[in-house]
Amino acid sequence: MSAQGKSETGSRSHTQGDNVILDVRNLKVYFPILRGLLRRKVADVKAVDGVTFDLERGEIFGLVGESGCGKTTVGRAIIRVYKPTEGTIVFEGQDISTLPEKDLGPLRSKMSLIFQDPYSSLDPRQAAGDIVGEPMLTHKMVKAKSEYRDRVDDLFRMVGLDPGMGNRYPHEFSGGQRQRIGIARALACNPSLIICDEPISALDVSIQAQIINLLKDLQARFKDLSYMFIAHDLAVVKHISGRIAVMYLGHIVEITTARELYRNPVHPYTRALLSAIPIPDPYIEETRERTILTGEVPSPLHPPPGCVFHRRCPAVTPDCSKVAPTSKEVSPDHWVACIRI
Amino acid sequence: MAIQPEGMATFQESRRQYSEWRRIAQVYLRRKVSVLGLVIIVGLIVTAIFAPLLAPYDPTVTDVVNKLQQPSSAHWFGTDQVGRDVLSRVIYGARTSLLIALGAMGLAAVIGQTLGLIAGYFGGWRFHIIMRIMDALMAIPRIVLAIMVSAVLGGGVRNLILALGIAMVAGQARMMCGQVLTVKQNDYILAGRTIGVNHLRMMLRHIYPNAFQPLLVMVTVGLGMTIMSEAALSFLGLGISAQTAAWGSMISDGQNYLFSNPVLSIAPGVAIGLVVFGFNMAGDGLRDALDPRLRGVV
Amino acid sequence: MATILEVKNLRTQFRTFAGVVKAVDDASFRIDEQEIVGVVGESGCGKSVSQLSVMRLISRPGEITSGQILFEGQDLMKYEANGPEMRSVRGAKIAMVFQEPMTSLNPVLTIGRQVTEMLELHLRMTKDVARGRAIELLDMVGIPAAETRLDDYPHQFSGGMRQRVMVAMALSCNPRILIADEPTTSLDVTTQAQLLELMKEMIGKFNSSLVLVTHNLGVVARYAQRIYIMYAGRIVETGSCKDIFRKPRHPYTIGLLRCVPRIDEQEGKTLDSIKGLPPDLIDMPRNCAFLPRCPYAIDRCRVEPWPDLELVGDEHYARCFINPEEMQR
Repeated sequence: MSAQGKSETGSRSHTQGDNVILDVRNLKVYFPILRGLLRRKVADVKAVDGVTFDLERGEIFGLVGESGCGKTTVGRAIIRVYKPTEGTIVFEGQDISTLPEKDLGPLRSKMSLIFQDPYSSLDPRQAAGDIVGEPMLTHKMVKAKSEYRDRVDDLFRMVGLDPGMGNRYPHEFSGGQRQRIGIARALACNPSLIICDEPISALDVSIQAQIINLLKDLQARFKDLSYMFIAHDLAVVKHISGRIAVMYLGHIVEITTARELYRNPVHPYTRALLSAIPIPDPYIEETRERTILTGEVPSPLHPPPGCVFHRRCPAVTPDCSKVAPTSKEVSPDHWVACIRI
Repeated sequence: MAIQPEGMATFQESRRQYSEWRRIAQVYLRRKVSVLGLVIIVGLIVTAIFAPLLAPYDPTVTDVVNKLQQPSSAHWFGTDQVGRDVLSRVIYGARTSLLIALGAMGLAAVIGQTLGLIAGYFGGWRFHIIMRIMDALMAIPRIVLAIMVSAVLGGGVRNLILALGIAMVAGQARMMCGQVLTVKQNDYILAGRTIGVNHLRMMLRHIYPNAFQPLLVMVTVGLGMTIMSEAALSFLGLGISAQTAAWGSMISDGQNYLFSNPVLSIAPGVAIGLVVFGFNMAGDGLRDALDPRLRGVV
Repeated sequence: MATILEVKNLRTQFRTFAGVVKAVDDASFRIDEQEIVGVVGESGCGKSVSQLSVMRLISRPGEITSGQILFEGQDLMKYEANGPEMRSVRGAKIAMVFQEPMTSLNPVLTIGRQVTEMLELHLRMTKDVARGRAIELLDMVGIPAAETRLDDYPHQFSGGMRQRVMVAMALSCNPRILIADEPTTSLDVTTQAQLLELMKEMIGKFNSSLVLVTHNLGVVARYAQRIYIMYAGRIVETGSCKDIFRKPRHPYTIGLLRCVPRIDEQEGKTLDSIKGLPPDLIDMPRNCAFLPRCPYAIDRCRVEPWPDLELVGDEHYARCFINPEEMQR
């Protein structure tokens, strides 16, 4: 839905210069499907198909969407686990989208990833302290052993864990504690951007708030730290983020501030997503109007022509299947990709 | 219908105050036959190490006058066709068997697991080249492969280790590769990548320790099988020189006297059977004890 | 409305390597005709185990150690777990939809085969009649081209569609009670909304009752009429949906309501998280299991054993000593 090759799409009008830490333009990530003996490419899964946004230093940017919309792929392309098929990713002034693996070293210390699953994201045979310290050893951040130990202890305290637990193994911790270890590991090299990929959705309700608050506190403490907060739960994303991008089938359909997104959603998908989230209040729910979408998210292998949302859109027009919408600024800082706007 | 209530694993794992190895030991020790297997293995090791103390005679000294004696209080298992004490030869045979089994298995494990680790970790062309070669090796029956190798290299303990070792490389590589592919799915491997951990550390520190447990079972059972193969090769005369006490060649030598002096063949035969049984049972016990599905349930 | 299911003093335990886990401890609850009941709690609180116990689906190392499960006046505990009486209740009169639709369907049988099997088994329908009914059912749960999709295998369906099939199967024998154990947790938000609306509509059509086992407070707020809040194997509070949300009387309920971000909240609000961790269900102390995490705890909580559920309002019970005014800050 974002315009192909139109670089200004989705960027905010007022962000220029060096306050922008990450500038993603027209990012595409395709996964080839290989068949047969010669591994010929028969098709592409268009996981991310032209996504443009930027992140300011010290900002919490939310990326929300349902499974298969490509939000995780965006995060992993930015941290260069995946190589972008097209587009640029400018991080701290440098285009990292085409850097070869061997030149990614410095990037790896400035950007880190927090995972969804607190069980599979920690090596079960590594003690918690070693897990947290590994980034520092990898990037030779510390000179002496004592400095290393102090720093690991500091990180433990920062995320609310007792430093004395450093020699325990992951299975001895609860899910929430493991997620704290993951956060400590992500903080180890003083990164400027942390990509949080569904960091709380595997946790219990009462633990989720602890982790959200921890992430917010840490960001308040390190003013220059930015988060990209990827999640499927719009309520959580809205709670933590300053600005939010809503993704659907590889495209960003709407980007604006959290407040504006809730008060004044424009794209039909955003509206449907908002209305699908039940509010924990029976009195409100009693009278609340809801738009229930029909059908399911199509496969990114065969995305619908025109607007990818048109088959489920409650406000579909005949043109929607013909024209791919470009992103337009409907009000300052509020971009929507829908041809009806 | 076996339903695991959600959350069971969560609170058990979080509260586990005991170590994983202790749990494994407890599950293992619960099965009597596995304990018996362990006892046999320990017995074999002790026998092998203390052979000179345990054996009543020198196993290589011939005494043609007293050849082919029936079991007696002087020679419990009698003497063979050149008058060597059979009991002493069985005891020293444990040494040969264990040495060859450990050597061959060790060789196979080092080469096979390294190849499997590389193939599984890097994938791509490395995977295809290594695994196709392993497939080709797998296509030849192990014993035939061992015979081919020892026919080329000749006899002797060292060459026997080589022959049997090479024959087992493919199995180790395949198993390792499969394990690595599973372990690689975990997020901590991705985490290591985003941190910038180099390939060597990734393989040795993160992948190998999480992949080796099932191979432990395979190695244990493999040790028993190696002893069997070694005996088979020795029996066929492709093994070790007649001087060295080896169970396989003892059976082979004894078969001419099967009716007059059956002990000559039976004694080493029983030794082989017992040891192979021991390794198999130990392997079974280990397999159960390491089974992740049993974690927390028992 | 008449009560169809009444569970009294249910205790379910699991013998584990580390000790005996009291997964459900002295839980009593009831389901009335045609109502939607929410069972809310976090993982390990016993909400699923309590429902599996009703179905008598607890297998080794688990065991129901005491309690009565009165369904339409008969005590299900008197039956063999896998005996003919229980089999005629399970699936037919009390049906269940599980969280993971992939593992609840047999991957090697067609969808049609699995739906008709239920009908043939429980309702003694002939093959042709059952097939016709299966098409009707799949059509009813919104599966397009039901007649052709009947011959498809589970992997050819998406997660949401599979869950619809599960609902169709669960409803095939017109059960009195449908137990949905986290039915939408593995689904997307928009699919989740579709499915919940569908289930609500369906139980209306079939005059059944619905038990929604979930951790999602929003879902129960929208659909449930009555709620049971569970913590550490026990029911800590129960009442009408509106009472629970507007006049919560247990500190755990209050904590839960305050720690979830709401889509309609003010920007810049901070969440009041519940400190600490859920307790170990092995060797639980006699006093309140929520005590270590409770911000309002008083001396009495530390000294006395966990109180019983006490009436605190109209059909509203809570298991707490603390004066309600203390909790209103």
